[in-house]
Amino acid sequence: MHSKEQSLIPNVAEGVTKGVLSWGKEEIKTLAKNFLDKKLIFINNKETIDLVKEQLKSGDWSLCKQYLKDKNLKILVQLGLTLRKLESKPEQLQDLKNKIVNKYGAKGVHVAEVVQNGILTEFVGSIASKAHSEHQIIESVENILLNVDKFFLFIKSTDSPEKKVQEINIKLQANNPDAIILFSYKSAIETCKQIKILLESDLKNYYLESKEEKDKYLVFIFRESADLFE
Amino acid sequence: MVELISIKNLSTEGKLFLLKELGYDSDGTFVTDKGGIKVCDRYIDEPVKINNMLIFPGSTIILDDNPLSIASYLEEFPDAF
Repeated sequence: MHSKEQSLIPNVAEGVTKGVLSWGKEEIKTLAKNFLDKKLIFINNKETIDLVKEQLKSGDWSLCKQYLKDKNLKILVQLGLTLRKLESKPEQLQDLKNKIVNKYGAKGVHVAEVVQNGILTEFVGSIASKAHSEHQIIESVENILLNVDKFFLFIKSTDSPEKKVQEINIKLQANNPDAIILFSYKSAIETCKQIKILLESDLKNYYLESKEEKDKYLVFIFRESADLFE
Repeated sequence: MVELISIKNLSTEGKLFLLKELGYDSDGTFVTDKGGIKVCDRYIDEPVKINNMLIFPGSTIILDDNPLSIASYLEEFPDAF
């Protein structure tokens, strides 16, 4: 038996110290009784539970959770962090994305991807310095996540910068959002930088902030500070 | 304190016996209730396979072993473990 599993067993109940392969009916009865007394949880892969619990101890979760009140958004943010951890395991990554789509739709997986790519953490860090109260941050963070497809744009290397600027201007005029965020990765970074240059000469009542690290490049389009949070 | 018990390597026969002790059953692949109705994971609304089940306290909640279900359970029962 695996040593990790073995280490779980001796504490269960007096007399139940055998490995799972050799559990007899009496041992299982004892375990079932202890379960009904709420002393036990039966798990399959300890790794899955550890993976979820690990995200609850992460710095990203500590930062973001205080600004999340919506139960479903909390779960999606945790799952976004889990997706990040599963990036080296494509099969598990895709399986989790499929489950998110089935439960929350395409919008749900977009929220999780925003978290997976570190965009939410950057946004929270940036908005926290501009808001006047915790309530404003909560409102802004939840609004942007609940309207993820309105306020986040994933830039592709094949995008036309001019057309994207047009699209962004339409979004700004139609929704008057606190912020729009552009995300680019690897080969799309150059396109995103071109978009930023075009926006710089074109924007009214909004200003730009950008962040580049490793293989990603983010552009935040914020409403002018005089208007933000008013 | 609640203890986690891995049933990953428990034989199918052992898992079936455990389910029966807890008031459930199985058709050999899926977890069922005593009437033979498949038990669905309450968070992903999919039938739970006997070889991929988690069993949590709280009126005996049987879930599929995946991050979405576990995260949802912990959101509903934050002090579970």
